[in-house]
Amino acid sequence: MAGIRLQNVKKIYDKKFTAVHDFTMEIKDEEFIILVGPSGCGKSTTLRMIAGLEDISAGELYIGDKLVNNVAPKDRDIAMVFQNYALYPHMTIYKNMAFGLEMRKVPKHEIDRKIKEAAKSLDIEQLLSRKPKALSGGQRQRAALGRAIVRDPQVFLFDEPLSNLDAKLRTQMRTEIKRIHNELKTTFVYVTHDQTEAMTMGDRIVVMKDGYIQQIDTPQNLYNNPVNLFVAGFIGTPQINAINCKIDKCKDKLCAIVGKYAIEIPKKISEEKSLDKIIGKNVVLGIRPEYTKIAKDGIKAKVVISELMGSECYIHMDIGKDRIISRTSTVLDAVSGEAVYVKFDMEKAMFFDEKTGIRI
Amino acid sequence: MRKSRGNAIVYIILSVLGIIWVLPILWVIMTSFRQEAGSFTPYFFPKGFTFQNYINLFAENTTFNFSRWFSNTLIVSVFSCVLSTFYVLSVSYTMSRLRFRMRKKMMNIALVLGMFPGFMSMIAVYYVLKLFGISQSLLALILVYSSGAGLGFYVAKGFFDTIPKSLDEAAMLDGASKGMIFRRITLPMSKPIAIYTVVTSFMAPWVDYIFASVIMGDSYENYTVALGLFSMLEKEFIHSYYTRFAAGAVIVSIPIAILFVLTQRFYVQGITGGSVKG
Repeated sequence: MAGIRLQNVKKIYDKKFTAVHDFTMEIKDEEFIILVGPSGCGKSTTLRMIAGLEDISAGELYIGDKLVNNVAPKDRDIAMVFQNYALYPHMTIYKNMAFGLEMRKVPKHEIDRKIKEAAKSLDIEQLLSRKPKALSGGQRQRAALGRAIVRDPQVFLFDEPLSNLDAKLRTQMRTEIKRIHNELKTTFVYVTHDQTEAMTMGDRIVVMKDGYIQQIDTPQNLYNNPVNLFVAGFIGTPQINAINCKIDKCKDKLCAIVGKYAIEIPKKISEEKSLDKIIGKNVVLGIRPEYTKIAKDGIKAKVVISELMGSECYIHMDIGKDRIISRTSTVLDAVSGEAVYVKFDMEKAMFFDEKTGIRI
Repeated sequence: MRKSRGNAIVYIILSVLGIIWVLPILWVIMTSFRQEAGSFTPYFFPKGFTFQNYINLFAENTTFNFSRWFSNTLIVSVFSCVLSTFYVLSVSYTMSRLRFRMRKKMMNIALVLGMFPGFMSMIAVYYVLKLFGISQSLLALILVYSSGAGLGFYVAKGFFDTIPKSLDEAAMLDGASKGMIFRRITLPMSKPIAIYTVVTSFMAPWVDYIFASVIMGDSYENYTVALGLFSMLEKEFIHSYYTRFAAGAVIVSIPIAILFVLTQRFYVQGITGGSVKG
């Protein structure tokens, strides 16, 4: 059991392309950390650097108290679960799980005990004598998990392990992995591009973009207090509404001017964010779909489409040039092209710089 | 209706081709059992059948020492086969999995070198061997056949390339060394290509004539079967030894046939199935 410390870790390919810039963070022992971001953001590269499958171009990586920059992957005491399972096809599941232990010269009876134990916990006991070919996708991923578990490593690494599974299995495996984490009490580092996985599983989430860390925080904080428009947009489905507006004075309060409408900003927010300093400036108003309600009056919007999700309804609308979504629990038969009025719960409003996207 | 007619035409063409292909083989087999001597007969089926040609081939070794040649060839082929297979698979794996400077360039050079026929270097090879004092020896043949084998890595490399890299990485994290990964993961998954390499590198020295003739010269003792059998066809021998030559040709094809029968069951498709999503 060990924590991981990354100090200004960098990955530069071919002396030209920088995949990861100055990655610095401390992963606590037994923590479940999720690296999330769009494809090409450097999350997998970071994970592979922790695993030792990629060289670290600059910076320092510690597992426990040990500097492991130049330690071979096999000596880092880590186990990894791959997106494509990477089971050895010519070996039975039992042999697959035993391979790593055999390499480490663990006694035979010990190997047997560990495999039986892990197989039981993953409910794959009856599959041990089969080859990967004879397993379904979900079973293969369980077997791959089992191969990692029997090793009893200090750190578990997951590289998008659920991306190849169908939606139902994915939900199932999500809880499974979470359960394993609770049981094993080991450090987990998990890479995904799926923000639902990130939100539901992680103790803390690292949001990355273009090789830079955007924000490291708990799921709840990421959702409520994103540092910039990218994080705000990446976390949460449907996406946060981003509306271009202008801060202006109206009577004794400040307002966000959207087209010809002036939306009052509560005093609490305008004071906390000292919005009075940016009067007259164009900013982006961010507001989550659940705080965007269809009302009798308010801002006029044109319905584009309404998606019925069963218990709730997403209504896509246009306000001027901006597309917004309202998430309502009441089923509304909005016909596309119909004009409706929306109201924002401005207590929950966030403001972002128009150019940099940084939260004001 | 149209389909079955098309099929019929295909089968007819295939049958004709099959007969054309099998006929010479049948003819050699017939000749090898022929009782009457002589090189050419105007008929296909021999007038009398006998095993004497085969017996004489091994029993009479004053003029032509066939059993010696046979064992020579076997020794050379087996050793070249082992060495070549080792070279080819090592080079392929290296080119497929390791990254080092000049890798691309070396592959290109190999490709260009491979375009020149091997016997272009024959005379040079002869003098080099002579310099080391090992011409006219079996060792020389083994060296010649196996040392260039590494250049023929392209097919096996192509196969190794199809094995997902994540398997290597998984094994690496499991604690396996590069050599271990090759032996325990890559090779067992590459049975078809390993077998292919074994068969081809056994057959090449088994049937080669040109290099053997240049290197062996007049050293009858160290002849391989290809050289030996051909010497039976010289003017002064051809009449009395022709049927024996045919018997020799049949014998020569037996080890290759056995090799094929033994190995063909390894040519299984989909050996990588189930390892990764796909």
